[in-house]
Formats: sequence, C-alpha cells, structure tokens
Amino acid sequence: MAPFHSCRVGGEDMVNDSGQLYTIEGLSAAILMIVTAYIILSTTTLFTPGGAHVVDLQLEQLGNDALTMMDTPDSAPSPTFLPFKSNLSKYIENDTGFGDQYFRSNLTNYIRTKTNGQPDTNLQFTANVTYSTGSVVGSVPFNSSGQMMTGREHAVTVSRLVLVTVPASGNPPLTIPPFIANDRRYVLIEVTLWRA
Amino acid sequence: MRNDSGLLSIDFIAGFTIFMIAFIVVITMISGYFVGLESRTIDNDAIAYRTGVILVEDPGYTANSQTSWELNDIDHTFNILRFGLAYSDDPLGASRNYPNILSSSKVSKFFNKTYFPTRNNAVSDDYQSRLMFGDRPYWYNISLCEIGGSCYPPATNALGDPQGYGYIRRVVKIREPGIVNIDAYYHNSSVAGGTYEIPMNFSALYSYSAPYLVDPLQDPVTIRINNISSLNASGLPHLSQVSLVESAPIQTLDEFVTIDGVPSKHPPNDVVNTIDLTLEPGFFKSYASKSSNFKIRYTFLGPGYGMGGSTPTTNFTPGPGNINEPDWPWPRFIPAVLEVKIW
Amino acid sequence: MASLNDEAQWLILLGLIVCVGMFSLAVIINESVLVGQTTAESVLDFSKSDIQGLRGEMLRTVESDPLNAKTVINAGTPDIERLYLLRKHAIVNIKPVDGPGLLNISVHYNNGVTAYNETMVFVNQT
Repeated sequence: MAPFHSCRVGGEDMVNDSGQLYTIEGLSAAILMIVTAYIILSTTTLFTPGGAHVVDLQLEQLGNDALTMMDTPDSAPSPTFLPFKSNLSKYIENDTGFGDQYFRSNLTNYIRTKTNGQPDTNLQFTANVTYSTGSVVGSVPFNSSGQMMTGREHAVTVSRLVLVTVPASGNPPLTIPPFIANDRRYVLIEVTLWRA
Repeated sequence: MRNDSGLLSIDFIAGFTIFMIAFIVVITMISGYFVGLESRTIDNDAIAYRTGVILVEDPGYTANSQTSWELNDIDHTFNILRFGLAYSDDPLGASRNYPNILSSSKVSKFFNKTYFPTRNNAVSDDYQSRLMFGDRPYWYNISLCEIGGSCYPPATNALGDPQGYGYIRRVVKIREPGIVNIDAYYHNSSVAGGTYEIPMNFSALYSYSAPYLVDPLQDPVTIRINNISSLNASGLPHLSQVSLVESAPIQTLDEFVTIDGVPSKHPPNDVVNTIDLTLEPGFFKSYASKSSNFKIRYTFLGPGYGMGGSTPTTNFTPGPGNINEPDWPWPRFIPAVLEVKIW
Repeated sequence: MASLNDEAQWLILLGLIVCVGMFSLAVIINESVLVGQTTAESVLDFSKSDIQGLRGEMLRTVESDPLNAKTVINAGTPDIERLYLLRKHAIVNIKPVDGPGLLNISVHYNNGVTAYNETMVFVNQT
C-alpha cells in the first residue's frame, strides 16, 4: 500500500510510523517507576517503633519492683523487737495472719495501682514456689489472680530468691521436702505476669 | 550525526511527557511513605525508663558532695547536678543495698514548685537539665501516689494528657522518719522547775543498717511532749528555754519550739498541754557527725512542776516507739507508685 | 538501519535510577523500626534484678540472724546455685572468704551476657 501522503516540511515527513522511540522508552520508564513504588509501599510496614518489647520491659520492671518491695522488711533488724522477716517470707511460710489471700491482695495492689486513681485491672498473675532438694528442683503452685492465661498475651516471668523458715508442725507447713521443721531454706518464687 | 535544527519530534515530547507525569505521581506517593515515620517519638520509652531508674535507684548528686541534694536551700539549688529520690545515709555512698526505698525529704523537695518551677518545654527547666538529660525539650509528667493514700502534686510542664507517650511505672516504699512522742505523765517530778533532757546518742541511733536506722543528720527531728496537764502542778508549768547541749549548752532552740500548737507561742512561756520541737532536715549538719552525743534540754521554772527533775532521763534508744518507754522510733515504710510519662 | 537507535535510552535510565533510589530509601526506613526494639531488648537482657536480688538475700540473711548467718549461707548455697542455674540460666558462686570484716562473702554471677563479682563485707554483727 502506498504511504499516506501528508504535507511536507523541510523535505521530511512530519508524521510517520517509523517507530515511536521516545514514546516507548518513556512509557516503559513510567511503568517501571509506578510498579516499583507500588511494590515498595505495599510490602514495608511502618509501625511505631518500640512495639512488643517495650510492654515486656514495663511488665518485667513492675513485677520485679513488686516482689522486691514485698521482700523488704518493714521493721528494723533487732533481736529484742520484731523478727526481721519480710512479708514475702511470711506469705510463703503461711505464718499466722499472712495466708494466701494476703499475698494475692498485696501483689494485686502493688501491680495494679496507678497514680490517676483507676487501677489497671487488666494485669493478671500466677505464682509458684520453686525449691531445690538434693538433685531435684520442684515447683509447687502458690497463688493466682483467678484468670487463666490463654497463651496469646504478652507474658513475662519475674522471680526472686527468698529466705524462708520451714515452720514447725501445727501451722500448715510449706510443703516442700525434706520437711524438716525450722529449717532455713532458700526458695525461688516465680510470678508470671500478663496483660489480659 | 548532530541534529542542531532545534526541532523536537512529537515522539520525544510524548515519551517525555509520559515519563514526567509518572515521575510526579510516584513522588507524590513517596511523600505518603513518611507519614508514619516520626523520629521524635523513638526514644520516649527509653527516656521514661531511664528517668524512672534515676529517680528510684539513685540518691542524687551535688557539686558540693558533702551534703545531700535536698539540704541545699533555695539560693543554692544550682549545686544540684542530678536528682534522685533514693534514700542513702551517706551522701557520697550509694543506696544499693535496699533499692526502691525513697527518702521522704527528697520526695517533698522534688515535688515542691517553689524550689523547682517548671518552665514550659524549655531545656533549661530544672527537671530536664538535672533528670532527663535530653538533647531536645520533652513534655513530661512525673507523679507519685501512696498506695491507698494521698498523692503528691505531679511535676509536669504540660497541661493535659497526651495521646501517645513513653511510660514506666515503679513500685517503691517511702521512708518516713518517726516522731518522738513523750507522755509527760510518765516523767512527772515533784520538784518545781527542773530540767528534762532527751539524750541523742548518734552512735546508737546510727547503729542499724540503712534504711532502718534513725538519721538525725538528714531527717527532720520532731519531738512532741504532750499530756503536760497531767503534771499535777499547782499552777501552769513555765518552760523557760529549750537548748541543745553537748558538754555545755551550744545553741538555744527556742525559735523551733511551739507551745500548745500555737505557732507564735515560743519559750519562755507557760505550757498548758503540749510542747513541739521541729528541726528541719540538715539542722545538725554543720556541727555534728555520726558519732556525736547531744542532749536536748527543756528547762522548767516554777511555780508549776516540771518534768524529770534535774537528772537526765533514761537513754533514748532506737526502737519501735512506745509512749511509756522513751524510744526514738524507727522510720515507717509506706508503699507507693511512681509513674513517668514522656512525650 | 545499520544500528539500533539508542538515543532515548537516557529516559529509561532515569526511570531505573529513580527506582533504585526508592528502593534504598525503603531499606533505610525499614531499619529505623529496629531502633526502639533494640533499646527495650538491651534493657531486658541486662539481669539487674537477678543481681540485686542475690545481693539482697545475702544481706537479709546476715541482718536477720548475724550469728548463724555463715551456717545458713553454707547450707543454702547448693540450693541457690542449682535454682539459679536451672531456672534463671545463670552460674552463681557464693562462698565465705577471708577479708577485712567479721564475715566476708564472695558473690559471683554470670549469665553469659553479664558477669558480676563482689566480696560483701559485714562488719556489724550485733
């Protein structure tokens, strides 16, 4: 077919079909850039830095503080006055007036109180006491805040070494072997904290 | 071959236009990429955690390291290099044996707006330059509340609560020094006038481990004598002077003594029921050490009876504080919660 | 045509440069997320409360019963070492040593990341 004749300028055809060189290159460059931008924006996720681990840091510091304060005696060391025992030792030994429910309310107060007056009721805990005897390390469950952990929450475990005196029989004893009364033992109390 | 005819083909214009339009669209999309990125908030949690540690586990530091930072008066607050609320019986030493025990004088000073006013968002703010050590100004809110009790006024340079902030919560115990309570009924003398002396044997008071000891060099000293009306006197007892005595009288304490709860009633004066002596923290710093031995002498004149006769009473030893026995009561420990918010 | 006309290749080259630029920017921004993570992780890794608790219990043992403290600590040391090894994954070594005070206890703690050594000196035994 004969080419379509159009007006001639300068002796050359102004419109011809001999190849849209720049157009094709420009179009392919444009497509390349847009596709790259789209892929980049859809694959990288920007979330506020300090995501999961800061919550763990806050919970762990809070749990350690609470155990430390419960393990700090409120009376001075003096043989003529009150025995130098911390509340935490008394809870674990189950001394008179320091039973299970007092540990629960004490720990709950410490971890849930906020300065704006509204307690942080989402924090839950379970506690157990780990002892060592001979070559065996065993655990006895100690207390909990009542809720079961579903396993999906951020949980941290804090622990503290406590010196306890295994009480003589008559006062329900701390049931850890080898059951020698008035034995001074070191046990580890472990508390798992999570935010429900 | 050089084309210097100065003519652009339509093909070139079309291709270039398509490229430029796509370029501008992509650049606009990229600017949306930066919306979630904010470098200002990256370190808020870290600053909050560090501030919490400095407040709760560090006793603070002054340029003049002989005195603890809370004993500097309002004209000398420039000496304070670092705040810290932890109790330590030795200004140079650490409080590492019992972390999280706070000194009540430090806590009162820290939250006192007269000493440390907050200036909005300025790096020269006392709290920012002595506690947070940041490169840029932060908004902060530090609050302390007793568990089951009252709160201290928060230290903050902001007006409201922010949307997002760095946060840490610490559980502490505030060490409150004890008040000496003396019931005059048990120290009655049938002698008109006479002196009553309270021994302050610093070696005995400091003989316990920190923070359980009694610390007259850093704590406020409060002595209350009540029930004076039981002295069975024919007239009101007349308190002529209260003085600090070592081997000889050193200083009169009349200006620190309040009679019957009336702030303007100082010795010499008649006493109906109570005598209160209040010495501010750091009173003994200028001339006492941990081995000093003082007495506080109450001198009564006639016609009413006094207390104790002219012989000193039995020794005041540290103890739980019993109204019948003269004890210098141990400090109490009050659980509290400290929160730091930084944004 | 004797050769391909490659005069317009600068246009696609520009496109390629812009894409490479966007990619490197994305990599840099992506890594900025780690800044906050790393701070929290390093705090969690440092076992501050383990060391403070260990020292605190030695102190508490001596202060509550100074005369029998050495016996109690000697009897309890195997328990402490085993509990710390199995539950806290740290090696602990506690033993009384000679020293300036009436009772000196050497405390050693190592959890692989942090090592701590101290000789605790107790002079006041009443």
